[in-house]
Amino acid sequence: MNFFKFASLTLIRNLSKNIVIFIFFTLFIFIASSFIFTSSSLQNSLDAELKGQPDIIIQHKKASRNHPIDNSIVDEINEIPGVEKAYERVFGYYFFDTANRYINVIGIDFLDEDQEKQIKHLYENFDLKVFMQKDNMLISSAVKKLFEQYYYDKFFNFIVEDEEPKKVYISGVFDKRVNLFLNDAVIMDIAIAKDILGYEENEASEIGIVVPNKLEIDNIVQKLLVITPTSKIITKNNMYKYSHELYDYKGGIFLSLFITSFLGFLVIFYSQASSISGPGKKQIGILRAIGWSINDIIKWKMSEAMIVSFVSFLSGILLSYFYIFLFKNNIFVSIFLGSDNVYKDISLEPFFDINSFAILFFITIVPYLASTLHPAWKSSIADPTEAVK
Amino acid sequence: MTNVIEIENLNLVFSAHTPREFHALKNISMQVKEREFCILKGVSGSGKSTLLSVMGALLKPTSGKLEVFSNPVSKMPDFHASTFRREHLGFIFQNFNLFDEFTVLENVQTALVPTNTPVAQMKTRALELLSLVNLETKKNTFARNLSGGEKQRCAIARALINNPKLILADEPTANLDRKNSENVIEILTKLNQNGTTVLVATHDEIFEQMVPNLKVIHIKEGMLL
Repeated sequence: MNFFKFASLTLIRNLSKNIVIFIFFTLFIFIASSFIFTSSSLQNSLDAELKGQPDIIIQHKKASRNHPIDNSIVDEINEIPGVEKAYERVFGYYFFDTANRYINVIGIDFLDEDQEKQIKHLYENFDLKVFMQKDNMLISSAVKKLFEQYYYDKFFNFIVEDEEPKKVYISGVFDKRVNLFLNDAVIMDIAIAKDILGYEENEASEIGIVVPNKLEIDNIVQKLLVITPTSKIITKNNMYKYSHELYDYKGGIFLSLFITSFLGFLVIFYSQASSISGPGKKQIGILRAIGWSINDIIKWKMSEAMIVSFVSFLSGILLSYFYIFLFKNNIFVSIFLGSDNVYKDISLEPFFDINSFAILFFITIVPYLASTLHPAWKSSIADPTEAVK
Repeated sequence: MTNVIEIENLNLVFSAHTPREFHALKNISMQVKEREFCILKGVSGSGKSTLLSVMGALLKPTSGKLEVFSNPVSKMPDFHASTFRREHLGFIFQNFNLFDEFTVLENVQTALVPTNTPVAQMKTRALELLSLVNLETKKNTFARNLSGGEKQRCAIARALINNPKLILADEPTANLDRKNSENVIEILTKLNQNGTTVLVATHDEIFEQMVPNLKVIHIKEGMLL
């Protein structure tokens, strides 16, 4: 038997005394690691999503709101040296008034090879020939659930500008893994999307530009400003920065709340550990009488603290891993993504950010062990004659 | 025979120079020789346990000389006092002072935890001692489930784990019936015959009835008579 085994025995055999600290510690780690898992998984998915986005996006703004952009500039942009391809993108929210929900309508040019590839990534069984035979759309599982509530299991009637219903058939449901960004989306041919969203033929939501040489992006942005000086030009780097700032901001708020509450826990723990009970004094007195030194008592108490903190740390991380990645629609996703229009059907991709967990380790276990040290020393100097009383 | 314990003019004063000042031990001078079986006899509150605690380096005397195995115990810093207790002394208590939530085997091994003794060696030694005190069949029983006599035999095994040359026992039979008291005294007598010095603080007449060549030291109100 060594100190570690002895500490394990005293902890296990006095479980009722230690369970409260274990539960609180585990709960703290569970909450913190759930935030880390959620934010890092979202960030990772978002980064992966951004990889598939064009290098530059041009939008038309009026009073800081998106307005349709004239797609006639696409040909002019395609003439700029260094631009591989410029294309129009169409998307917008359609209000499904019976359900009082918004649906994100996305138009795709299925004849564009790259866009067709992206669709195949979303929906493995995609067959362009079959899809283009009639007005078809791909929908998310959440939208499917919403449509089914109103008996739209084969098609959906979109009400277009002239109040006429436009029937679009449901061709398939795309992979749940990508629902994070397409949870409320329906994807259809760009012409149908324009019709539903009330766009003219020469209008688009934005223009996407692919630039193979990333070093050329700044030069091309300068040329774009000449072609369309009033438009907003967003590079992929800006998108990365914006998404990171968004999650870092939420993560920062959480971190300050977490540290404050964890410090509160440590203060309570410290005061509880500092007041040694009668039986505790006797126990230490016995150990001192049979030859344990003050150092030995501190080693024992620190071993106990290490076991409690490590076991709680691992338990909290494992619990949060299962909660975040196996249970859909957990509360942490809602905190980061906000409430949604439609029923959430989101599964996060498992992602383990080792740096974040290293930080969590240092802001929890290290202060906990430090806060244990003084009570451990205080209890170790308990009067050894307690044993002979 | 050499002196195992040598005390000269030892005094212990609690709360000195305060209105609550209490002179617990007064001018104690005594010797305990190697292989002696000695009892400190006195009524409750006479200072027996206090003197035993001083000899065991659990309490520091206010003044006087105290040497155990020629070590100046009263001047030892805590770390050395702990090591000294572990290497030279075995303590047996009136209330057994076992860890109720530990098994008999685990209780016996407790004193060896700080010594880095290999696990197998620790277990072998503990089992030998449980055999000596006739408790090997109870090795996996939790201490809380033992009878009073079994608890005291377990406590004796724990006190012997480091092979001490001196056993200090504080009222070891006070909580036991006659039969169990006899068992405990038999074990202590056997240890004494094998070379261990035994010093017992007690007011129990049974020691005088059972132990041959017993040295009796009377103590009253903190003074030897």
